[in-house]
Formats: sequence, C-alpha cells, structure tokens
Amino acid sequence: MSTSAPPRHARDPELALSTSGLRKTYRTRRGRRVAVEGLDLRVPRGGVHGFLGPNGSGKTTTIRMLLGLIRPDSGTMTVFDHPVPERLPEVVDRVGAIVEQPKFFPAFTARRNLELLAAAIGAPRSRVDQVLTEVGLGERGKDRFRSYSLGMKQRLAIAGTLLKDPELLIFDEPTNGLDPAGIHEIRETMRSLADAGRTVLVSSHILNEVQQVADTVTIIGRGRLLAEGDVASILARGGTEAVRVRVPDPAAAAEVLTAAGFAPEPGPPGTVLVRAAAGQGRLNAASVTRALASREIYLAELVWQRPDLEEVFLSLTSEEHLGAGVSHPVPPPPPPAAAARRDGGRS
Amino acid sequence: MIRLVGAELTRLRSRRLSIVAALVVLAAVALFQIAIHSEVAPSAAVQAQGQQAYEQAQKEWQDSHATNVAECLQEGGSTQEECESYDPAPTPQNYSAVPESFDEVGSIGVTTAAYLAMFTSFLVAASFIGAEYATGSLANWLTFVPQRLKVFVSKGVAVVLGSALLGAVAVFATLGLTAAQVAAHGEPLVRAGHLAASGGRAVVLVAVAGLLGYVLALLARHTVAAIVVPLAYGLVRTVLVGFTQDADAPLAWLPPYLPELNLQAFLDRGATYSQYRSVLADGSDYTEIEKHVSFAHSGVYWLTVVVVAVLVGAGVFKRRDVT
Repeated sequence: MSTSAPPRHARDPELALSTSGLRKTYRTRRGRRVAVEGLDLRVPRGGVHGFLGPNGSGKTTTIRMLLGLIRPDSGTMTVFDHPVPERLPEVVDRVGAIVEQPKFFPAFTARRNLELLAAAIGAPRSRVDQVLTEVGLGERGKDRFRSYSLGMKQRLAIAGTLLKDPELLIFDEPTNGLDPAGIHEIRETMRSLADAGRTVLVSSHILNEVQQVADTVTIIGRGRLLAEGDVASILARGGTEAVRVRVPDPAAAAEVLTAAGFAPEPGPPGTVLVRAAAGQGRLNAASVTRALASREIYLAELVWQRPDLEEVFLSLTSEEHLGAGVSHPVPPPPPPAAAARRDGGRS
Repeated sequence: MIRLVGAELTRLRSRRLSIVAALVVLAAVALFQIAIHSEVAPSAAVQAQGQQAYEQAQKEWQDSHATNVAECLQEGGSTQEECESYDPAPTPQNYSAVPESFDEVGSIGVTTAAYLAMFTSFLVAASFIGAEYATGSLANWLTFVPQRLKVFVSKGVAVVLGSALLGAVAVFATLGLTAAQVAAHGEPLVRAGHLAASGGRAVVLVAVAGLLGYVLALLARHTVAAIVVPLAYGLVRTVLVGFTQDADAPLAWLPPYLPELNLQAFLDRGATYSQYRSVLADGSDYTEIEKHVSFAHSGVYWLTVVVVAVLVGAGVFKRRDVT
C-alpha cells in the first residue's frame, strides 16, 4: 500500500476508523481470490457500529488489515485519523481488539495471560485484577485458560482489550459459539462500553443479533460495501412495515381495507398483508382492526411484519447478485475514473 | 524494548517445556558425574586391580609386539610406523590404574553438555514461537505491539538469553562438579582455564542453537516443522558422507562448510578431518589426508549463520500476514 498516494476521501477526525478503496486478495491453488474489493468503510466515533456480512464476506480480513496483521494490496486506512498501518503504533494503545476467537496460551492461567499483555504495554499489574473483576472473572483468574468455557474465554478476551482502556473496541464475531445467556451478556457489555463513551465495532454474520445493539451499521458482501448508515435508515431500505391479518374471507377484507385507504395485498393462504397507502404516514394496526370490525370482519390473527437487517441484506445481495462466501476470480481493478465516481457518490 | 524482552522472558520461564528442559539438563549433568566418578576418582582397590591388569598387559605386549609388527610387515603393511600403530602399548589409563585427568574428562563433559544444551535450547526456542502460531496468540500479541521488528527482536533476545543461561548451567555445572570430583581425589585441575574458555564458547553455540530454533519455527510457523530440519539434515548428512570422503570427489570441498565440523572447530579452537585418495588404480589402497578447519573459520561460519538467520527471519516476519 502506498503511503504517498493521496487518500480518496478526506480524512475525517469525527471517524473512529475508515478505509478507502481497500483491497486484499489471497493466493489459492486455483489462483487469486478476492477477499476485500475496494471497500470504503466509515465508523463514526461513539456508539456501537455493526460490521455485517455473511461468512467469507471480508469482515475479518478488513479488521486484520486495520490492525496491521495482514497487508492490503491497495487502498488507505485510518484509525483515529492516523493512517495505518504506518502510524498504527501511535494509536494502538487506543484500540482494543478481539479477532475471531479469543487467543491466549492454553496452559497459562487467565491472570498470567493478562500479565504478559500488561507487561508488554507497560500497564501495572493491578490493572489485571481490575479488568478481571470488571468482566466477572476475578474468582477464576488462577484457572488455566484451557479450562474456561467459551463464554469465559470471550470475557477474558474482553478483559484483555480493557487493559489498555481503549477508546475503540473491535469485536470480531464475539458471540460465535455462545449460548443465549452468553450472547445476551456480550451484547450488554458492548452496549455498556458504548454508553461509557467508547466506540465499539462489532462484526457479525448474525445480522438480527447486531440489529438489537448497533447504532450504525455497514453491510458488506464479497468484500464490497452494500449499505451503510444508521440502523433505522438501513431498515427503511428493506421496505415499509406491514401487518399480516388472518381473516375468514381475505378477498372481502382486502376490499374493505382498500376502501378504508390502506394498501392490502394477498398474503399466505387465509391472510392479507396490509401496508399504509402512499402519503398515509405510518401504519396504525388499530385503524386496520377498526376498519375490518366495522364491516363485521373479525381477525383471527394480526402479526407485525417489520423489515430486519437480514431481509435488507438478502434484498441487497439479490440486487447485486452476490452470494455469501463464494470465492470468485480476481476481476481487473476498477479504472481510476470509476473509483472516483464511486467515491463521489458516497461523499 | 526492555519491557518487551522482560515479558518474553517471563513467558519463556513460565512454559512447561522450559522447566522440563532445564530439569532434563540438570539430570544429565548429574548422570555424567555418576558416570565419570570411577574414572576421575577410582578407589584404591580399583586402582590396585587396574595396576595389576596394566602390568600384565604391558608384559604381554612386550613379549608379542616385535612379532606382531613383523607379521604386519609380511602381510603387506607399508611402513614400520603403520604396523607399530596397529599394536600400541597399553597405558595405565586403559586399565583405570590411574585417574583420568581433568583435561580429558572435562573436555568430554563440555562437549556432551554443549550438544545436549544445544538440542534442548533448539527445541525450547522452536516451541516458544511455534506455540504462538499454533494458539493464534501471536496475532493477539501484535494487536498490543504492532511493531513487527520490535516483536521479532524481543522474542529473539529472550530466546538467546534463555538459551545462554541453559547452556551456562549445563556446561559450567558439568565442569564445576567434575573439577570438584577431581580435586577431592587430590588430582590437579589440568588446563582448567582452557576448559573454561571452551565452556564459554559452548555457551555461545547453545545461544546460536536457540536462535536457529526460533528463526526456523518462525519461518515454518510450526514447532515440528522446525525440528524436522536438523533431523532431515542428519539424514542428508549420512548420504553426503559418501560424496565427501574421497579427496577427489566433486563434493570434497564441502566438509569445512558443514555445521558439525564447525561446531567442533569452534569448541576446540580448530578441528581436523580426514579424506582419502586412492593410491592404486583399482582403489584397493589409499592414503589418508588430514585437513584442518581453523577456529577463525568456524567463528566466521557461525557469525554468518547468525546474521543470515536474523536477516531472513526479520524480513519474513516483517512482511508476513499473521492470522
């Protein structure tokens, strides 16, 4: 990656991290495989930012590049407005990261593992006890890492990141393999970290799970940016909300609802899908039941149909003909003009 | 950097393999002392018995030596000296009639301890970095300290210091305990300074072995792959012998560049090796040519090995993706 080339978009001090035109290919037996292709990522400071995409979409590769673990083929990256990996040492103390699974020495105790990391960054030993207590492992610090459950390992990894008291935390698939209680715990932890003023970047392939905790999201597929923004605006791309009503005579119900100013459409057998008509504003379920009851059509069931990130993602990938985790040959890099257009469209 | 080296040293000494290796080395030192006890401090009864056996052998040799040499010459021995060498005079040492000198036993001790410590430190060092790749903790480490060269150097320094300590314990414990046994038996510590210097050089070689184990495992990203390298060399070496013993063979120039000869030359301030040249066309007779590898040569050899290993290791580690 060239350091002298000017970045494609202006550096923004309001961003915790950003990438521009980031590209990474891997050599495989069948030639080169694109992992990340011209990715533009913008993570604002503060809050939880979901970095979403299916397995193999390039999330972990992107995170590894940001952390200096692997080298990009091209593109620029910044962390707290510092170009990385060149100036990563200047900001690394402000970044805590867990890439994929927690990785510690299995034969060492949790405390010894953290003591080594603390020694490397010059943190006092007392900090080790603090962070162990903070993640609820104070009592189990003397146990070997290999004896930990997956949830405990994940908590230990979070404790490791907290040794630095970082402003930015990067969690890569933090809930992989966890039970529901563990997932809930991690979600709560991320939220509380963000509420304490930190920026949390969480990558996941379980989109609905992140939807519950994220303030902003970036969705990628096959290493390319598909959508970004706050959760509400992304969800709006998934279509309008609707209610599905089960009635004895769907055709008659549809007529009544049309006359009442709704936009009904046939749903699964025995049901009608009701949306607000254009210009009607938000759909009101009570208005739907009232309109049907006024003609003596009584509901057997009413279910809200709200778009979620998964639907948005599926809709985006089908639009772009992108599948999940399928390797594809390297296309030629985009001409500079096309790249400039793409940036222009984003900014 | 000091902070990082300290953290790496803490990890090195906390590892189970390091502790096991240290115990194995100490056990070997103890076993060596037991093994040499009867050599350096034979009891009066053993000495008397040995003296008797020696005198008997001396008498037999005197009776038969002239006949043996004459027969040798008749059967085709080329020179008087050659035939004399086939029937050497017995020595009191052969029969434990006198204690082995400190020089003799100490030299064996230094060599034995050096080779054992070199093997052990190579193994520990390879495992030290191999475990980081195997567990993925190297990636975690780099998220705390992203400066690759700094990380490479700190780990290397820790390995070299740890190996040197192991080597020093192995070599000087062996020498010290041997000296104590010899002195306790009232014998002089012959060439003690020479042996101490040889021990110092052995410690350097143990540190080099540790460094090579570290770099090889770093390049291979696997402990076992690194350990396979010297084993594979051992296999190749057995094949190479056939191509290097003949003074006129295409690979006759190779021995001075092989590690084992340079190890010996560095430890003993020079080493000799033999090559052979056929005298008769059918190869049924040959002459032995003795060649020498100097201490300076071995010093330059090991310095080159270290510089190349460090440069290659650092270069690869700086650029390599760590996942």
